[in-house]
Amino acid sequence: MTGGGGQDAAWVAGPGAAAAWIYAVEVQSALADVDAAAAADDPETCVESCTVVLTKLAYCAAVHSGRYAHPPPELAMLADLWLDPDLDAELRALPLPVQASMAQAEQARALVHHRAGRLAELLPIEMPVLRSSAGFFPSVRVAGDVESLRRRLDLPPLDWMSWGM
Amino acid sequence: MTAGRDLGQLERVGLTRAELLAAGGSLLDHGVPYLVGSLAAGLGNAGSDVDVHLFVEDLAEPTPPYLFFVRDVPVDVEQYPARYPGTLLAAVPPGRIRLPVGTLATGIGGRTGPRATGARWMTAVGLQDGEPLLGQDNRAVVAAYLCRCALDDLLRRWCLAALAGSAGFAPVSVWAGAGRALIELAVCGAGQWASGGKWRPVLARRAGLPPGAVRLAFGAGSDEDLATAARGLGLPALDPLELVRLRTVADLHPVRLGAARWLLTPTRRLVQDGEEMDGPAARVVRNRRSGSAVELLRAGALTLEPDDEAVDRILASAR
Repeated sequence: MTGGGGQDAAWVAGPGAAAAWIYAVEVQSALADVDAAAAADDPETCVESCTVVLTKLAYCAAVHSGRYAHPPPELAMLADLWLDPDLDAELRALPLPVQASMAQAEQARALVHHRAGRLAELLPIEMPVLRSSAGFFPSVRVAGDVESLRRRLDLPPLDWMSWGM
Repeated sequence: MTAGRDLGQLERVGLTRAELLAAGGSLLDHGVPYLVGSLAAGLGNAGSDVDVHLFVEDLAEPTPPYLFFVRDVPVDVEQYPARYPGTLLAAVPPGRIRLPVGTLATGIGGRTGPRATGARWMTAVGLQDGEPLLGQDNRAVVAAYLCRCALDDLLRRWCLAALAGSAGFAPVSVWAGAGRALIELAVCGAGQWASGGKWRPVLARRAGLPPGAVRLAFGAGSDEDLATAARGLGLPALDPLELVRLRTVADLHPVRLGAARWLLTPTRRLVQDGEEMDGPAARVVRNRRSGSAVELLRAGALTLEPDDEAVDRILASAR
């Protein structure tokens, strides 16, 4: 069958919401680190931050695909991510962080922003950036909205904080 | 509020000590506040958070972070019981061994100290008096403990990579992940403290680590790369397959589905119920069960634990 006919509500209220949360809490803060390092003319920290973004995107994508019904423990998560050939190919495309040039850093930065944007398009819920003065409270409201839906579906509350990396 | 010289560490985000204490107000009043994190470590940039740990008498447990803003600068405040630094120090056995890579704690079986917070406290500086949280002797004790924890991490990741390699599939990333743990150990050993992996390249340079070994660690793609980098960074020869044990996690629940036998993990994955894997990782390799071990590690049914006594023996013989 092809797609269409709406989305599975339990997926949206479960893996979809968890992925949206991980994107907001982990991926966006990692992207901010990339941008801050670039703005500070620090190509080494910028490139290493790009490595962090790609790893967090891979985790977010795995949660989004429903791979984890429950957050994995750290060693299991790292093993799972690092043994994934797709993430491996992406990480190998980055330059080494040590002695990276600003040109290399800018290229890596553009790449990770592009990848993050593609995953963001697949998220079923928009969670405002948590770390700005304006974005703090709406994120808490969205979590409340998800819990309302989960209650309607007879699902227990999401343990949001446990989904972090 | 005591008068006094300002904290240079806050300049990177354009704040003064007075502004921070004033904005924190009553939140920071009922304990002793310390600046921790990357700014306290002399790192950070204009986009950094200000991380504050507040030590409070009669607090039962640490509180989750509370976030507020001074202009657009995020300030993250965590509260800790005032007794916690003492608890961390008490959890660290006094044995220490000095090696080219650094000084590591020994005799450390069953360590329970809070490691991530310990690292943050190494550079913590008082917001009111500008004094360090830990005195010099205590910093040496905590430093050795943190280095030993970093060695444990390296051994676990190196063992994972070696198991995957012997199972015939070890992508570059699993070696490069172990390489980063090696860098972490080397920068800890050199006394460079910062939380957050993104600072490792900068810290490696600040620590004056040999650039060739550092490049090899970040770009490691094989056991040979990692071993060569480790040697270059002052580690004794290590065999992670002999020094790390596989252990079945608690709370595996047997599940029968017809004739098939499975185990349900705490994270709700089903894995095949097979033979016992507990013991040195090297044994699993000898029995040609590395592939199964890796699958069980990925599923969270198995975990990796360094053999503390065996590691102590290696370190002692390397001196």
